Amino acid sequence: MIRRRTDIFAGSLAPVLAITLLAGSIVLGLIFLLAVGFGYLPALGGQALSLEPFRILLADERVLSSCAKTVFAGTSGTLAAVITAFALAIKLNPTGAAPSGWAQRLALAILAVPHAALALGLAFVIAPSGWMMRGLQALFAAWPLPPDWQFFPAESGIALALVLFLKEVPFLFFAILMGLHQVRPERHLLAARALGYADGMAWAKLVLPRLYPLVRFPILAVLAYSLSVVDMSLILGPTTPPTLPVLVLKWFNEPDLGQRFTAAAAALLQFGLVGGAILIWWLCERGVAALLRPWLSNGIRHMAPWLAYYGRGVLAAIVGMAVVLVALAVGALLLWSFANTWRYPALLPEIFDLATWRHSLGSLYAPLLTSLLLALCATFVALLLAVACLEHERVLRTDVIRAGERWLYLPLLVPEICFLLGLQVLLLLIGLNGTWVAVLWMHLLFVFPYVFLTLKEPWRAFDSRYGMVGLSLGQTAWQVFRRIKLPMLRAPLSWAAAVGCSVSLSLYLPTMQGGEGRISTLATEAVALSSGGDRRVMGVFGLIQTLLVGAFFLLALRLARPRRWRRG
Amino acid sequence: MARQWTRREAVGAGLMLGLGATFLGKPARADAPPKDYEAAAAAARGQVVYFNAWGGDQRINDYISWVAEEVSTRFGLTLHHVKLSDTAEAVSRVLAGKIAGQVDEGGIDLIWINGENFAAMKKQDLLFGPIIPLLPNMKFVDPKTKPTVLSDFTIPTDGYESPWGMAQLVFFHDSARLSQPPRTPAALLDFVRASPGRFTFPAPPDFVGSTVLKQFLLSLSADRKPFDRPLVTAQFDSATAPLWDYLAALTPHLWRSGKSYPASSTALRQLLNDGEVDISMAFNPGDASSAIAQGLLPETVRSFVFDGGMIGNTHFVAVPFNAKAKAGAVVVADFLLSPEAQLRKEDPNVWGDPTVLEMALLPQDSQAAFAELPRGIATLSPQGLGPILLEPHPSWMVAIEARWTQFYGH
Repeated sequence: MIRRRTDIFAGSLAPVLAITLLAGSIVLGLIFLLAVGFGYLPALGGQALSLEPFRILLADERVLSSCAKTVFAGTSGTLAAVITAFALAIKLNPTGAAPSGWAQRLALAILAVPHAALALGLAFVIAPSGWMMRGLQALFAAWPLPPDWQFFPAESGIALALVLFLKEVPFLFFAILMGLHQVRPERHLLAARALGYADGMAWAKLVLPRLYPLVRFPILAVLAYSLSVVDMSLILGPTTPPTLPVLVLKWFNEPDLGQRFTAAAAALLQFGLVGGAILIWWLCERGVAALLRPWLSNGIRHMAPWLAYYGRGVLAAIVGMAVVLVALAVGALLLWSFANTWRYPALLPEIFDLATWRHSLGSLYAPLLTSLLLALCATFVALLLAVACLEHERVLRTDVIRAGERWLYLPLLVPEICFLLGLQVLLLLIGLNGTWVAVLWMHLLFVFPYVFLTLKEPWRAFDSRYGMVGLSLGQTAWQVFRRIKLPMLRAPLSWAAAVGCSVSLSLYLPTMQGGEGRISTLATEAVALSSGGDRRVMGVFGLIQTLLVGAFFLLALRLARPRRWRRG
Repeated sequence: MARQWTRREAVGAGLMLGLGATFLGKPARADAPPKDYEAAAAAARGQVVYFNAWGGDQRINDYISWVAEEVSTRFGLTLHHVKLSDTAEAVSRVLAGKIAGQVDEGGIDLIWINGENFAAMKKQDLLFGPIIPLLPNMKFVDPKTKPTVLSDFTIPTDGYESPWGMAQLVFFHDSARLSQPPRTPAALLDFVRASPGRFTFPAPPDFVGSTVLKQFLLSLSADRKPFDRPLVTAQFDSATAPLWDYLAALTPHLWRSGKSYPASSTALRQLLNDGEVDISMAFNPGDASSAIAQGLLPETVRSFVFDGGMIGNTHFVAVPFNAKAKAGAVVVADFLLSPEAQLRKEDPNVWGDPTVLEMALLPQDSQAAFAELPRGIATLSPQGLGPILLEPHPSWMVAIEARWTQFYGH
C-alpha cells in the first residue's frame, strides 16, 4: 500500500531515457568513428573497411612523440593535483565536518575561471616577456629585451601540466570534501585515538582507504580530461608536435577531406590512449593497495615526525605557489581587459581605457542571454532527470541505474572529439541540426553526468524514515517529496544546479556542433575571438564568464546554507 | 517493466536505423534555384543568410555587421555572422550534410574561403554554382590584371567562388629595434646569425607558416616554372633542395632555437608586440596598420617585403551545395563586390583589406573615392609591395609541409 502511494516516479522512463540519451548518443558516435577510422565512408569514397588510415597514422613521425608528451603532461598534472588535493583536504578539514569558508571560496573562485582564460593569463605570467620576467627586469635591469628562455618550457609539456594542475586541484578538492562528508572521519578518528593512533596515521590507515573509492570517478574524469584537453594545450602546450588531441583536431580540420579517415583513426588512438591511461591508473591503484595492505595493519601508530613537519611545509609552499600563480593569471586578465597597450618591460599597462569593455559589452548582450537560457534549461532538465532516476531507483529498488550508472559517465571519460562528429551526422539525419533542441541535447550530455554525480550520494543517503513519518501523518507521496525531501536536500540540489550551469556555460564544441554555429553563446564568441589572439578581448570574456559562473556558485552557497525552515 | 523495455528498444532501433542510413551516403546535389540576379534578388527578400566567416578580428566582425545592416535595408534579408575559429569547421558541417544526404536544408549559406579549403570543397562537389554569372558587380573585376580572382592557388575557380579581397604576404618589423629589415633570404639568414632567437614563423601547417616556406622556396629558386604544375615526385628533391639547405642554416638560430614555434600568425604578432621577436608576418598588407590602430602593435612597426616579389592570392566567398538561402547568399556575395562595400573594406580605419575591383572599370566618383582613401601608417604603397608571386600548385604545399614536419616538426 505504501509502495503504491510513494510510487510517483516508479512508472517513469527516466533511467531508460537517461541511459539511452547519453550513452546511446556516445556509443552511436563511436560506432561512426570506428567505421570512418577503418576507412568506411561512402560519401568520401571509402567503400570498404581497411587498415589504411591506421597505416598512414602510424607512419606519421609526429604521432609517437605527440602521445608521449600528452601522457606526460596529462598524467603528471593529474597526479600532482590528486596528491595536493588530498593533502589539502586532510589539512583543512581533518574531521570532515565543514571546510573552512575561505578555502572553499577560493577553490570555487578558481573553478569559476574558464580553462582557456586561465591558460592565457598564466601564459602571460610565465612568458619570457611576461609578468615574472618584467618583475626581474624591474629589479635587476639585466634584460632590456625578453630573453630566449622559459620558466616552464612549453615544448616538454611542463607548462601544460602546470596549468592542468592549477585548474584541477579545486575540482578534486571539492570531490574529496563531498566524499569526506559521507565517510565521516570523526568516528574513525575517535576509535583510532582510543587505540593510540596519532591523527595523521589514523587518517592514512582508516579514512583514506574508505575515502578513495568515493573520489575515484572524479579522479578518472580529471585524468581523461587532462589527456584530451585542446584549448589549454593550444595556448600553453608544445607545438612540434602538439599534444595528441590538438593533432587530432588538426587532422579533422585538414582541408583535404581524404584526411578525415586518418583523423578518425587518430581519434580512435586518442580514445585508446585515454582508455589505456585509465586502465593503467586503475592497475596502479591495485598495486599500491596490495603493497600497502600489510602496512595498514602493522600496528605502527605514529608517522615519522619529519614527514609531518616537512610535509606541512611542502604543502604550504605548493599551495601558496599555486594560489599566487592563479591570482597573477587572473589579475593579468583583469588588467589586460582595461589596457590599451602594455608592452615589455612595463609592469602595468601603459595606457588604460575602456574601449575593449565598451566594444565587447555592446555585442555580448544576445550571446549572454542565450548562454544563460541554455544553462538554465539544460540544468533544469538534467536535475529533473537525475531526481527522477534516483527516485525511481529508491522506490522500485531496481538496479537499472546502478547497473547502468557507469554508462552515464561516458561523456566525461570519452574525449568529445571521438563522438561529436558522428552525433552531428545523426542530428542531420533526424532533422534536428541547428535547433535549440539539438544544442540542449548536446549540453545535456555533459551537464547531466556532473549533476547526477553531485546529487546521487546525498540522495541515496537520505534517511527514508523522514518520509515514513510524513506518510504516517497523512501526507501524500507528492507532499512528502515536495515538502520534506526537497527542502532537506536543498544543499545538494543547489550545488548540482550551480555545477550544471557552470558546465553548460563552458561548452564550445558541443554548442557549435548542435547549433551549426547559428546559436552563439558566450563560449562560442570567446573561442572565435580568441583565435585573433587579442589578450584584451580574452580578458573581457574570461572575466565575464568567471563572474557569471562565480555568481551561480555564490547563489548555491547561499541556498545551501541551512536555514530554519519550520517555525512554531 | 515490459512497457519500458519495449520503448527503450524502439528508441534504440530508431537510432540504429538512423545510423544505418548514414552509411548509404547518397550523393546529393541541389537544383539551381536562382537563374539570374533579378530572380535571386526577388527570392532573397525575407531570407535569413548564415555567413560563416572567421571571427577572430573585431574589426572584420564590425565590417560584417555593417554589411548585415546594409543588406537588411537594401534587400530585406537578414544576415547572421557565424563566427568561426577555423574555416574547416564549416567545411566539416557541409560534409556532414552531404553524408546525411541533405539537399537544401543546410545551415551554411555563405562561406569565407580560399586555397585548400576551396580545392577540397570543389573536388567533393560541396559547392553551389557557378555563381559568378549571377553577380552583376563582377563587371568591375578584371582577371587580366588580377589573375588570382579566377584562379585560387592555381586551381581554376570555374565560377564557384566570388572574389572578396586581395591578399599578399608581408613582413613586419619594429623600426625602433630593427631599422634595416632583411630584404632577401640571405640577408634574413645574416640577421638571425647576428641576433639569434629574434625571428620565427608560425608552425606549419599553419596557413601563414606554410606560405613563408613557399615564399623562401620561390625567392631562392631561379626557375619557378615547375611550381605552377602539379608536383612530379621525382622532381621534388632537386626542385626544393635550396629550401632545405636554407632552413638547415636558418633553423638553429630561430626563436627557441627552432624547437618550438608560435601556433598562428596572431600568436606571432603578439610575440612582436611583446618584444620577443623582431619580425612578424601576415597575409594582409594592411595588417600592421590595423594592428597599430587597435593598439596590438607599437606605432614604430613598419612593413617590408623580399626583393623580387611576395606570394599573393585572393580570398573569396562561396555558397555550399546544400545552402538553404542560396538566393540570399548570391545577393550578399554581389553586395560584397559592390564598389561601396569594397571601398569601405579597404579603408584602413575599417578593415584595410585591398579591393579586388579594377580601378579603370569603376565609375569616376568611385575611382576618386578609392584614390582618396588614406593608407595606413605601416602599409606599403602598391609599388612598395612589389610584384605578386603566384602560389605554387597545392600539391607542392602538401609535400613541403610533410617534409618540414619530418625534419623539424617533431
